[in-house]
Amino acid sequence: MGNRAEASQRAFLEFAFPPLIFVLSLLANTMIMANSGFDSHFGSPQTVVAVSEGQLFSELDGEVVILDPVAGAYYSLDQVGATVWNAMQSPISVGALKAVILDTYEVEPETCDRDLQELLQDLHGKGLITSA
Amino acid sequence: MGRGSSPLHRDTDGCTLLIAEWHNMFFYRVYGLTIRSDFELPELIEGGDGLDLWIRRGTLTPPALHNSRIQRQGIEALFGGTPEAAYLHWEGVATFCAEAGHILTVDLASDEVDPEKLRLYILSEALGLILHQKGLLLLHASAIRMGDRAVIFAGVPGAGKSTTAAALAQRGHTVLADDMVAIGFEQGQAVVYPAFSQVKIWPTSVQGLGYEEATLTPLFTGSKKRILRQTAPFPTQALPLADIFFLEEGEVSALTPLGHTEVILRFRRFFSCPSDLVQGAAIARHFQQCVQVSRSVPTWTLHRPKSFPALRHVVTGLEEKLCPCGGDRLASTA
Repeated sequence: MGNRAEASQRAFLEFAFPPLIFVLSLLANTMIMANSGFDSHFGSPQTVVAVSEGQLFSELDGEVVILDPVAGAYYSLDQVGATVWNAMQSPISVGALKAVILDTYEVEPETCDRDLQELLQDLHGKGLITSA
Repeated sequence: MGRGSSPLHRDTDGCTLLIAEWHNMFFYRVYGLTIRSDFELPELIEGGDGLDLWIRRGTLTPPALHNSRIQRQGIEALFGGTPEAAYLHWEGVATFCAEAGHILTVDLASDEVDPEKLRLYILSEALGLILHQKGLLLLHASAIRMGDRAVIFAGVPGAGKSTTAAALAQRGHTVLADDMVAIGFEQGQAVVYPAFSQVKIWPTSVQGLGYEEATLTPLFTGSKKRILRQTAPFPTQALPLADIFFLEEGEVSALTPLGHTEVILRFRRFFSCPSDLVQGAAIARHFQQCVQVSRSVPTWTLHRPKSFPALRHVVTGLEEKLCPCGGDRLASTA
């Protein structure tokens, strides 16, 4: 249960926005890897996403800390991630999500598309969101 | 209901037994609780009605137990049961059962168990089970009163929690807890409940701080650790929590604020009872309490070199930060 274990359980994700860091708890022995590849349905603006039921989260000074109580895993989202997370509290289409980000942050639409898709895939892979 | 105040005095065996039991009871205050105990616990402050908790001697039949990753003196505790009836087994010492935050049953491994050693086990994780059941947030750390508030030092074993506490005790600050800190919330404010006056320090710290080893009592017969007890009146009321410091070794002394996620992860890592207790429904409560602490209490990483001059530097810095009036609490330690 040392620093090394804690460090090894962090996944640093490439993100064009300020770095988005997922911090996993000591109990995160059930870490699920996100699907890779860009051919998922998160590329479609019609796909509807929403946060999964049962997640606990708290917004603290712009950052969002999420606890998956079943896996015992903790996650952290930076400000941009927090904007996306808050927007998904009720079902929202990927197209509408993209519009929220473009309204709030100065980012190229193509970069936004790619990064949003990566983020959604990752959150989905960890069971934090559902999609339809 | 106080000692000997039972109104029952009929000629039945049961009642005679009840009165006899009351005569062998000890009454104490610890962590904001009033307890009655079958065991003498001279570390604790006497008094109170004993209604919050009963520490009793009994015979237990524990359910299936598993390793807890909690170690003392080379023994790993076994843990089992349910949140409302939690068992802790220390091979060769005792089995404990904490029930609903009100009864702690102690089943001794044998009559030969050293009472001094037994008290270490009663007053650590076993009592922690009760405090957790009562809804307090536990942290493996030391707490010290500085001015009118409390500060907490946490860190891995050997990071210097007790040595820092002892250095502050030397300057007349009251050590509120050494090893297990219980945090509660009163009117939305995070508070620390005083445990008892005892700091356990290793011989290197005894020497480094300039104590005469011969004047300090060993923790128990044969132990290298020494006990530092303070003579100043020990508080029984909760104190507002001012700051939390996570101690880490560093090239130079440095204070760095911790982000909220880091605070929550550290509280999870330094939880001072078996981690099974923060799973299921309890993990939600633990999370909310950590969020509340992180929102309201400044929390830091305190890097410092492992040397006694560096420690003195840290102590001076803390005094300037937390009790700029200083000097008025410089009581003697014994």
